[in-house]
Amino acid sequence: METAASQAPTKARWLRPFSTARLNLVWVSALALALVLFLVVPLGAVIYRAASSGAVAGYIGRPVVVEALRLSLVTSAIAVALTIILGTPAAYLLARHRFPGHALLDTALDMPMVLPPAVAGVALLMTFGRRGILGAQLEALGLHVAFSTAAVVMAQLFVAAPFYVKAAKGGFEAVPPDLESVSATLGASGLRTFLRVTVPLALPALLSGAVMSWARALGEFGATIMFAGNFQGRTQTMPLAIYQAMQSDFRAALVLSLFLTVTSFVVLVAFKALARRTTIGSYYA
Amino acid sequence: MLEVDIRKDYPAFTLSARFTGEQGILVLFGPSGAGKSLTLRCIAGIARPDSGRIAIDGLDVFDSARGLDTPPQRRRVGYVPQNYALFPHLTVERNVAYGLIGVPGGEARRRVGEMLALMRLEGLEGRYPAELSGGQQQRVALARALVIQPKLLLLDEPFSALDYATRQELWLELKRIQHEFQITTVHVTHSLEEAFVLSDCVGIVYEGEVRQFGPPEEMFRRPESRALAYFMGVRNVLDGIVVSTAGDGVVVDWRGHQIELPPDPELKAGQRVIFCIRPADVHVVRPDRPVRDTGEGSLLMGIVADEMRRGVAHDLFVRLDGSDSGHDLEVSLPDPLYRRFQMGRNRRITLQLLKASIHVIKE
Repeated sequence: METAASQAPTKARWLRPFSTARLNLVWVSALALALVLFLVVPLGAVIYRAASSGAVAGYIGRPVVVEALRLSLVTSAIAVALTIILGTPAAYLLARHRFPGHALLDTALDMPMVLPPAVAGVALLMTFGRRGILGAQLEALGLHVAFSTAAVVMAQLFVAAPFYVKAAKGGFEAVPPDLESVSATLGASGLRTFLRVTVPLALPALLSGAVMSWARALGEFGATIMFAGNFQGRTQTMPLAIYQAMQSDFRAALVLSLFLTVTSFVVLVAFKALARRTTIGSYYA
Repeated sequence: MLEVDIRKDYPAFTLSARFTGEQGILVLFGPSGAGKSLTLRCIAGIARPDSGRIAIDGLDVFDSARGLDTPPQRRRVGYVPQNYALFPHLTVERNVAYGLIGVPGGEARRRVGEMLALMRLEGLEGRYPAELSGGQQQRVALARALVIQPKLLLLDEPFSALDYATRQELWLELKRIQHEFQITTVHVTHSLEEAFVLSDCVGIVYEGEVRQFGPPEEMFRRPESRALAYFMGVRNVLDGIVVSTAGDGVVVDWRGHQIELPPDPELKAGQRVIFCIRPADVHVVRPDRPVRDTGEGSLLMGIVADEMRRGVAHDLFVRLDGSDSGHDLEVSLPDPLYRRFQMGRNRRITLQLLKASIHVIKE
């Protein structure tokens, strides 16, 4: 006997949800597509307009472009290096130990992520600036931090480090403490256990945290312009150069944007390839 | 040789463990949450007792009085936690070699190779833990712990996640390893059967305390409380009243039956008494032989009210004459005898409660 269901006209196979427990694919796809277009079309527009302006070749060698690109890469690299050196111990401490003020410290380290960068700029000025609370002491040592290349790195570190700490903390927490205990009973010191067990297993999280914080450092604008100023060759990173070019030479802004877009894309792709290699064999299959 | 006398306090739980382990397999048996794993972690040096002393091979590794707390790295203890804790990012070979720190390459390879052969893991050197079966993972964990030539082996419910056949195989394996290495082993389990099969000595852990300690035959027949009796599978826990203490035995009235108990100077006539006997220790009188009072214990008659097949034996639930419903005693009868005498439901049955098998619980 034929059932009603088998007589009903069947939809095209790809339109049907995999099971009734899943969302309807048509609506999900439509909404997802809207977002994807909103994100991808403007990026395409930058590439398209820059390419069709015929100005790329002419701008590549210009000092304003070269210096901004060099400064951006150098400062963001230093900021990420400092983030890893200082952020890894902080993340490990938060992940593996409970102490009074744990929740407070955790929240304090998250603050720069939700704080508007302009506030970060003010905060850094109020600390390291000439009239900041450490300003007099730094002045006495002959250090003029504000409006220097060092200030660019500090602004980037301030806004970018929390991304790494958050990711690394999650990565460390996901390593079963039993593995570390067993490593200790097998004679491995704390450092050896950390380097041989904890870090390898948390590596995907550490790498993704590092890339997130690098991306944040590279795009840093608000805190930099307030704390470090906008001096070509000294503190003018790519985003600042784009901002300035927008007011005088629009095509320069377009070419700079193209560089930043391409650089970011290349790094992200390289990172994803790397991350796939480290998680190969997916340990907990 | 292991000496443990420790105490650790938590807001809602106190661990208090005191026992000594000679060479052989020492099983810590108890329900989940009793403090078995914590005891192992204290011995391994991963958890720190609040007070007390732990000595391995006559050498103190923890002594709160002297402020001594040897770190786990220097205790030379092979520790296998419940989930094996294999390093998922390392191959079998590198997992086993992990503890050979400072051992020259050639020597390390030789020892790892020997251990892999001993644990029947040849051919799996290059595999990752996720690519191994549960039994193989367990053997790798054992190999990794043993290759450092520890003075003590600590196993935390090592076989609980494995299927029955694999578990039995590994019981034999563990006995073999134990024999080969002559290493004192502390084995934690909540399986009664496993405790029986493996132990040279048993500690019953209950509510944070190591309550009883001794050879397995004795431990499992002599529970010290009603709850422990139930947990150890001593399912006949009976409440009676002492009728007389004359001569060489004690007579107790239980549900209208006169039961003989072994002599006990502490029991007085008129006193309430709790006594117990394992289902497997209740003697079934063969129906093809005449019933004789041998003087070894009280004879009881009844019918099989219900039965349950349990693999190699049958549980018979016996309703004694004089009872209206339910059952009074549980009897375990080996399958061949069960079949030979067709001891199924509604059969009449004669039981003997051997005095020697009865244990009086003094709560």
